[in-house]
Amino acid sequence: MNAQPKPPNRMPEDERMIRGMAAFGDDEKFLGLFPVTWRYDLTARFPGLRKVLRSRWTSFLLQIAGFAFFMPALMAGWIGSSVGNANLIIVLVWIFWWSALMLLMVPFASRIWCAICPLPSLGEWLSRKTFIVKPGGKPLTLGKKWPAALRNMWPVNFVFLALALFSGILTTKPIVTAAMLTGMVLVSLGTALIYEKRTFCRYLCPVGGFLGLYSNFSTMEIRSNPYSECRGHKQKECVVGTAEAYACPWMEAPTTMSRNTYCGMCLECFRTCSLDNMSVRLRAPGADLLVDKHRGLDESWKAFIMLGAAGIYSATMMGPWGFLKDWANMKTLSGYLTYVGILGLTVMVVVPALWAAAIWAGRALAGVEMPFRRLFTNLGYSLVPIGLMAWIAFSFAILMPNGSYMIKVISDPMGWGWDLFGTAGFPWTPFGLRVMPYLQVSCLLFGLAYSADVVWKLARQTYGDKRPAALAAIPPVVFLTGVTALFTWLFVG
Amino acid sequence: MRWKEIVAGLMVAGVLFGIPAAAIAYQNSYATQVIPVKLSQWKIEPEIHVKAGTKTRLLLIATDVTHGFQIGRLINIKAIYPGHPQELIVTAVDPGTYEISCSNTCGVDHAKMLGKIVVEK
Amino acid sequence: MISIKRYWLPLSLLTVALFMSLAAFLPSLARADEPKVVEIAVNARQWAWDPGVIVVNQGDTVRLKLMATDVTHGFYLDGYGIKAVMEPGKLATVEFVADKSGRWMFRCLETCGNFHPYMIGWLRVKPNWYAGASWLGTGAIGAGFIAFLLMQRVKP
Repeated sequence: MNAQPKPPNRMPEDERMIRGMAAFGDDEKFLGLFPVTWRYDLTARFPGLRKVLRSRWTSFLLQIAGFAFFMPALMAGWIGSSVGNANLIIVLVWIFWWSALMLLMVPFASRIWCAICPLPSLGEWLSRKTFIVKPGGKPLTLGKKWPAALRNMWPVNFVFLALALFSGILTTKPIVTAAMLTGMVLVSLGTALIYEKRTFCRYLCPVGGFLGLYSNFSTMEIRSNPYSECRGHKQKECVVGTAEAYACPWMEAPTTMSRNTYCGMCLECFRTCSLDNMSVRLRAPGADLLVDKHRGLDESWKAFIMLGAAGIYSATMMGPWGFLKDWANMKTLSGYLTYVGILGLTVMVVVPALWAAAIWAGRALAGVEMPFRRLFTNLGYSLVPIGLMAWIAFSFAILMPNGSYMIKVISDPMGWGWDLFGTAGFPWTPFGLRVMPYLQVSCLLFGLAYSADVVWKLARQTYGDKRPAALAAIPPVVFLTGVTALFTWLFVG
Repeated sequence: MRWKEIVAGLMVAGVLFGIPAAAIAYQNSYATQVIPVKLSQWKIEPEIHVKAGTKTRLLLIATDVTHGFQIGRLINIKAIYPGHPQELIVTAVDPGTYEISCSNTCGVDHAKMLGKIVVEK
Repeated sequence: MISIKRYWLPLSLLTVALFMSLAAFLPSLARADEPKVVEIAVNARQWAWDPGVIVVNQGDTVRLKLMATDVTHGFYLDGYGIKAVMEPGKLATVEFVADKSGRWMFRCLETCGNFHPYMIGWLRVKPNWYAGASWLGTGAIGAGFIAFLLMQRVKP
């Protein structure tokens, strides 16, 4: 069917052009191990998988499964025990969901959480007026377009930051988490009635920003095969929709979409495409970081926020400093405002300023004419691997000591003294704490090596010449090493 | 096509309303057998009413830190840990009003953490 | 701007040296004394330990005099699995031989309010070879990569 023969499991050259990865050939490898252009098309190998993905039931059942966990958790949050570790909502959301995102979903399955997430489902069902089948007629929404000036990650950055300031009480008080999740359902409902499609998910969801950015590191992707008939196919069903399936709810153009950032894996493109041209593919981690398309400062700041927040959370929650904990827990207003100031300044100013200094020094070392902002933004994507690995290290420190609460809580989700499965008396039982420091440092060192390699590739892509690129990459590598040394100190020093 | 929507709608209703309804129903059937008593900094709630000469099952729930539960010299449960509700079976004999106090130091107003148990005829 | 370009080699080498000097942490982490008995009073409050950081030498016999000052707390030492319940006003003592070097977290064992899971202190058992090796690894990766980049620069 394809216009030209496909090299085995490699991205053809014309696809590399479309994807903004023209700078990298088949011999380019991450860490000398993972070929950048390697792709393993799961949907081509397993035809049954395509059938499953095409079915409208798949998305619905995933969402319903999400609801089956969400409803009891939400209920426990509102009316259950105020003890965090005896309440399903805290244990499920902040111990299990968060760890699952960082350890499994984001690194290996991109934004698969967005396919399960129950929060926007009510709004989506209401605006579509159906659960599964696409009806004829107008949807129940004003269908407004999100303001052009806000079509970026800035709103999400600020929503995330606003919530991050409350992370201390958010992760320990059931009712606060319940209020946040209920608020998100209500906002998504309102957004669905006013704005088109998944405007909430793409432009407002606080989790969406880092899921999007960090999913660039993921080993899985949904892409079209743009070099086949797709390019000449004028119908563009994935963009305009068909009678049976919706146009991309995430307002992407699946034909040329080249990064995981804004793909919520809702699978509509599999259903609209009459050519069966969409595919789920495996690939090397971090492939999207090299995609020179749609890069921007909004995403750079997302990277700064996530990296800075990982450091501050580790210090506050895993550190020995009582005053930090008192600040974050709002013991006094002045203390809390100090915490807000430190967190805000660190993620919005200090980390970006240090990065800017590294980029400035690199540009000066390279000595070749290069717009500062371009270098700053492009190389900024190298912060993703070390950022994700720092979050993974942090997640180990949450999951391994506290995972056993789940065994107790499934028997007594509300903390009301139930004993549904006979495990309500299960004591707090940490596991693997002897090996935890090894896991954490392994992650950090892997993240540093990966980030350093990515910054070198990005510098070459930006300069188009290896000699200035090598010099320009040195100060950012210094920055990354310093960040890693700091995290190493926080976790084992 | 209609059947798909109906099946899906039933599933949604089942999850959205069925799960909370089942939880509340379970709690109601459970709470008829026990009286939940919440111990928090620095309150004991609610006021407990029992009939003289009957056995009553109390479920003592600490909702923030570790508390104790003491009725005069008769009963003293020294540690009720948050997240681990404890059942206490009391058999009331003499009618009257008795004071409950916390017997596990629980912060600045520990001494003021009092409740009541009323034994009715 | 141009001036920095002229000094790229010394600057880069300086950076490499800086990272390699992270290894200087190693001797500073080394054990100072012969094993002895160390007795330390540790107070616990919602939600912090005082002192928050305890430093001992590997092989020391550590005796911690634990005192809860507000509500019931508990003591759990990661890696060692040592536990104690701490009722307010009652001294609880744990004694152990600090045979596992490295940095271990000690944390509250009994739920003591919302920040209970974050009530953490650090026990540093010197010599902290693991931290030293981790820093050395970090520095080696950074310095190694910089060396690699410099080679890319000089290659024709």
